[in-house]
Amino acid sequence: MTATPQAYVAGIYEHPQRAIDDKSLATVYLEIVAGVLADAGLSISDVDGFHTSLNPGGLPAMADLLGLSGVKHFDGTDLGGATYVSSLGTAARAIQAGDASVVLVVMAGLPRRGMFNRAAPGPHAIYELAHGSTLVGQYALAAQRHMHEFGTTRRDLAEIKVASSYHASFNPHAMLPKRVTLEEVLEQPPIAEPLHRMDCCVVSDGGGAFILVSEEVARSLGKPLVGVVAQAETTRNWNNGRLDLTHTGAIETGARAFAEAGLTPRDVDYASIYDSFTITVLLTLEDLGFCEKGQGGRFVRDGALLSPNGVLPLNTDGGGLSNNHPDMRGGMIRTIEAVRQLRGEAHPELQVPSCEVAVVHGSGFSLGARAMSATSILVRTS
Amino acid sequence: MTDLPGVELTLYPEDLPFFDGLERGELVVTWCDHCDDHVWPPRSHCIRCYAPVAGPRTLAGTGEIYSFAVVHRGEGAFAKRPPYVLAYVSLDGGPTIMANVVADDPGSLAVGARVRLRPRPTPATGRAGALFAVDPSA
Repeated sequence: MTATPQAYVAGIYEHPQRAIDDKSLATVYLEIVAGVLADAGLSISDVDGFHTSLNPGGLPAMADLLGLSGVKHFDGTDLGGATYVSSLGTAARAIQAGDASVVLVVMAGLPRRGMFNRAAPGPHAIYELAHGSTLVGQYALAAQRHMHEFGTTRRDLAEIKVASSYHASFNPHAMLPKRVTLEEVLEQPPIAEPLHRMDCCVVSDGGGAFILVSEEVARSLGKPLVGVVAQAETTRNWNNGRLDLTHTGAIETGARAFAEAGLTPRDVDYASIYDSFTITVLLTLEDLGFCEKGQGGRFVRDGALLSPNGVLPLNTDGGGLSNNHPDMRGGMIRTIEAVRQLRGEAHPELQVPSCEVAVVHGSGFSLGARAMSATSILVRTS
Repeated sequence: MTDLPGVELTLYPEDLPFFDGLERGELVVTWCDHCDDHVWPPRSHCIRCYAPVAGPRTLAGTGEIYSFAVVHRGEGAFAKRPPYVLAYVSLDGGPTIMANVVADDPGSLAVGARVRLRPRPTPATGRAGALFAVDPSA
């Protein structure tokens, strides 16, 4: 039996711009918060909980900027691309505990002008820098290992980009709205082999927000009810020199989240999976249990990820590979598109009919070295 | 492909045995005597039992490629250089570590290939990382 929602997503907003040259980060934030408040039908004075991540000036600067005077619950956790997916759980628990009833979760970033909100290099960094390690290189290491163990091919990975580009072609705001073919993906120049240019997500400006509320508030707002029924987090790393590049933290977060939700992967109507790279999606699909370990390459063939007719409609906004990737973190926009699908507000050509269960997964930092994983399960309720 | 740059690194006491060892052509890791296991990357304490590490241990310097990537867009000291091989090497009797790999026969570069530490000249500036060569006899 499906678990009872712990909290509800009352508002969502995705900034429409992808390259922002003429606005301050403050303005982008204010535009996003104005948008999410309007979508929810709330005002800033209703907000009593606040989540964001790394930002210039930290939490006090954000509270000052946004006019957050009545906030009792704060969270500025940085889980990289798993951030904000994690907030679905932590904010829901704060609401359950009575610490807050309206939690604003917001992010924005302008990486195209060189503003990166990220942690300083860690204590392992010298052992990477000495060898010319790059983020793409680390994900390429994960891809190469998967290819070796399971016979996965570049063409399999390309299927993920092709599906992404098909979905993006319906998104008027997508950074890369042109549909691409398998051949076009395979012909791209290498960045870190076996990964080539179209295996990598875009670098975009922008951001987004959602508002999580108690059941009482949700029922007062008149929006379709989208509830959070499960959320789990974990981490994977070098493991004292015994790393495993083919099994990600999603094995653990997926199992925990589905158990908490009282659901299985077969119940999922739509999946929002952070696609920092094509290999990120492949690994996550296997580890969440949508197919056997090692079968991801077969699973994604033949349009399996296309909406609405594929086996598992995925990232119907175009994802990080084709739509956007603000602040180099995918968790927020993945969450927003899942809510759109559950509300029935996705693009009509891509709306999953009777979409009742969605899984959202974020992978943060690097699946080729050390990563955070967060899985949330959202349901449409009445 | 052996022309890899030195990299300016801030090293602390726990890092020196590894990087100094590489300059002598040796692969040195920190070791926990209590757990009789390596500690990787080098640390002051074992991250399993939290005892202070006993002292560095020199390994054979052989192993196999766990995975590799041919990096075309390096960063920092590796920017604007010819493609190079970033790898994880599983050391015989030790941890899996990040490293560079060179294959004198490019066709021999493969996951599972046997490798041996290849001494690098000490760079003019900065520190050298661990470089392995594919060596079926290793």
